[in-house]
Amino acid sequence: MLNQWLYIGIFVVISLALPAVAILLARILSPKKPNKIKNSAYECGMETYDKTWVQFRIQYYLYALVFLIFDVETVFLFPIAVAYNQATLFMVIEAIIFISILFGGFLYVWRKGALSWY
Amino acid sequence: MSVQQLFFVVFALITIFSALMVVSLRNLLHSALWLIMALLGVASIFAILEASFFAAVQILVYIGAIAILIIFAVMLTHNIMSVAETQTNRSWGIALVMVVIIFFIIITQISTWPGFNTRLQALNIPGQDAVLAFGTGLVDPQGFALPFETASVLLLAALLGGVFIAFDQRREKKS
Repeated sequence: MLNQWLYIGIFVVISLALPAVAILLARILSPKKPNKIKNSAYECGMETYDKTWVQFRIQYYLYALVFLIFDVETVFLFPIAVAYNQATLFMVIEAIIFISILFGGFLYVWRKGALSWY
Repeated sequence: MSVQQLFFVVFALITIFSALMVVSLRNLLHSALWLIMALLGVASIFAILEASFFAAVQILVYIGAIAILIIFAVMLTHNIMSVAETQTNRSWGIALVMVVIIFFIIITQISTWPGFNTRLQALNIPGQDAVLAFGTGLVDPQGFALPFETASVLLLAALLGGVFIAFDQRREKKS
């Protein structure tokens, strides 16, 4: 059982090591001759003059919320999809009710215009 | 110490360290990123406990969706980096003592429970069959059919409530 996670662990180690090696090698090998133009934030364009942290639109949050709800729905539907060959008609109808309840919520959000960008 | 225990200690330390970083860093966005690391540590502990499905769910829902939600919530706030605010206040020493006392009270109380010292037993069903049993049990009328449908109503309530509150705020801002 742990063996199948061992592969994922190896991939995690490799995926962490590759960028780390690249960054470290660049830091060791690269010559450092800084000047004022090189150190500026943008090669062309104006420097920012105020706080760069601006407030984002509420739509980002709404999209994330809707995504979260349907992500959880996917998690619930996945075991049912695995067990689909053993399912009776009652079980399938139950899954459809589950989906349609959440689809009603999706329709509400859509009709309310919370998903539109203006 | 077996290899499994070594893995557990490593992942537990990663989780605790990340959780400490979440509450001690001043930049909220960095805290949110460390929270992802803490959730990943919890997912690895699920994997060590041979609960593959829950490890996958932890990554999919918590790291994939809730972390995004938290990062977007941070992006919505105005001042995330106030250097003047410190993460501790004067009574942190008393709080630490109280937390340690409460921790030992809880541990001693739980250890009186007869099931405390029983060893963990591995499930007899392999990974695929566990998900299969979960899936049939979820829609089985003798199983968890009613909680399953209730979960959809709960999710619906969360969706409607969140959108209702957030959308009203946006309208106030426009007017």
